[in-house]
Amino acid sequence: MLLIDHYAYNNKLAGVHPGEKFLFFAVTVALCLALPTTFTTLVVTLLMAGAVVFAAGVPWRFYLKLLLLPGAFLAVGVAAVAVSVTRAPQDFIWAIHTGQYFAGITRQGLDNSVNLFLRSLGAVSCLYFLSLTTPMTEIADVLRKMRMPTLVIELMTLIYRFIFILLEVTRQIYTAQSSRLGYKNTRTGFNSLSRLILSMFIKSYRQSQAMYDSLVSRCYSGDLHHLSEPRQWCARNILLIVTVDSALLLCSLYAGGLV
Amino acid sequence: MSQYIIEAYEIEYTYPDGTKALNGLTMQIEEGRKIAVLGANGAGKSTLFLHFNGILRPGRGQILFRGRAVHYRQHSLLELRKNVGIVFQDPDNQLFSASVLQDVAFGPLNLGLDRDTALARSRQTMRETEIETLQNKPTHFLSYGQKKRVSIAGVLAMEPQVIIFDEPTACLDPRMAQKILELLERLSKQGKTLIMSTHDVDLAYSWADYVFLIKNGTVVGKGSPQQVFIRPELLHNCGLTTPWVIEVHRELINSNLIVDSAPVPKDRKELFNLIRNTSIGTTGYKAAQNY
Ligand SMILES: Nc1ncnc2c1ncn2[C@@H]1O[C@H](COP(=O)(O)OP(=O)(O)OP(=O)(O)O)[C@@H](O)[C@H]1O
Ligand SMILES: [Mg+2]
Repeated sequence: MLLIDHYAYNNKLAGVHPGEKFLFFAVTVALCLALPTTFTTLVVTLLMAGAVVFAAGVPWRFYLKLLLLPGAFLAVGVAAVAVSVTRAPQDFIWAIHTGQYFAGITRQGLDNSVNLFLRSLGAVSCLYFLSLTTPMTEIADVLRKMRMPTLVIELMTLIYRFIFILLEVTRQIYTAQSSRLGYKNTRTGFNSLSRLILSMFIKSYRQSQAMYDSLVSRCYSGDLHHLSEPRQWCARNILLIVTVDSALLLCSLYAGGLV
Repeated sequence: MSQYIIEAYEIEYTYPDGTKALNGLTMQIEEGRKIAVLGANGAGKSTLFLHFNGILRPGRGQILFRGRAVHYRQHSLLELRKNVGIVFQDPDNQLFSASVLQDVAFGPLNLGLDRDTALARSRQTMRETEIETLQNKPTHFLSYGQKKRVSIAGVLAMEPQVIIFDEPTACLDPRMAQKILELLERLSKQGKTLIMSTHDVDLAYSWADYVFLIKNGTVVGKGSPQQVFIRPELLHNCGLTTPWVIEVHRELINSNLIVDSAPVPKDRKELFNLIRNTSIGTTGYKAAQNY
């Protein structure tokens, strides 16, 4: 979490207009979901990996680790799709027979699951691209320009900040506890953990009160006004995005046999 | 005669859990002064400051701003908060946004300034507090001192008449503390009223031109630093110590190195001057006489 955020602020694309990155993200993810051919999804995954590793300069080891995170979830979900359970025997590639039921993998089920896997992977890569290159505050900025309700955006702003405050508080309490042998064995460990959780609740409650006070002392009266720095759109980048995505669109239409 | 800008009369405040934090406290603050508020931990300093800004409402007693009682209605509260800014003790309680610029510009935008003016003002204060270089860093990656400066900038950008600093130099390295003091000096020159709470008696002694000592929610001592800090029993009573300048001065008098009539030096520089001037001239003679 902290590292993702670190790269979001420190990458080679940090200076690029957030709208451009958002555009690239939105169009590509739309293509990946709308034209889910194996070809498209693979290209999207590779394209995003290239953008993150080469254009943004995020170390590839870190990116690979990130991809493995949802990979595990995906694998489980996909396995469930691949296996089909029926009464009548079908043209299973592989099956087991229990009583009246057959559980096995059909050609079509396998195709579906592979497709689903790649599609999700492509979409996840797009999301990673956005979150690794664009700070949250700038994403909020773009959403605001797109007329997202202010309530949602203010919640995003505050929740985002609180995540880090809570992480910090947890880290501090945990360090304080373990420096006094709070985790020396499983029993004390559980005991300490329960107290950690309790004090997290109390602390975050106190802190949100204090933060509200400080907002009020600066004349807060219901909205978090927002000021963003004017940024220049770059025609070259937009041209690049349009070209890449049109090429992707054409190729996937061709690969999907629609043209 | 200078005017009182903030007055508090006989205010009492009890927290919901029953802690009586303020206990009939009376305090008058003159415009344009540099005021230090001292007291042990839990004396009620932070609670008092929240009253000056209308965040807490006294259970009994009255707060006056420019001679007029504060009404706890939205409109007059906003007016009060425009004029009185607080830099909170813990910057993490104050920074609500992950973006430094967002946080600094929050106050000016709330004042109803248009975007360009607000941006210009935020830029200006970020320069003054030397945080322009932090502007592209998220607040959760800043060090404590950096966060402190951002929170100061967030208040300065509103250009209030009275600025309250709750322990501005605690936890800062000496250089940064010095920088903040220089900034305060500049603000004071601009005619702002500054109120600071601190546990650093040396700082309070040389910085302030008026001092309040608080204990258990009441004022137990007030006056110019030279008046207040020469009363060791009072200081001890409030959990404070004597500033080193005064201690050295007293020691010099006791060992007959300087004459008693010399005024108490205000800071390190005055003390050193006193020592330099006396050691070559009169006291050398005086010390020799004593043998
Ligand atoms: N939110 C709260 N709820 C209950 N009691 C509180 C609360 N905040 C402060 N107190 C109590 O009120 C008293 C005064 O606290 P305050 O924070 O004003 O002290 P302080 O002089 O600022 O101390 P410090 O030098 O430690 O900052 C203390 O006894 C404290 O325990
Ligand atoms: Mg305090």
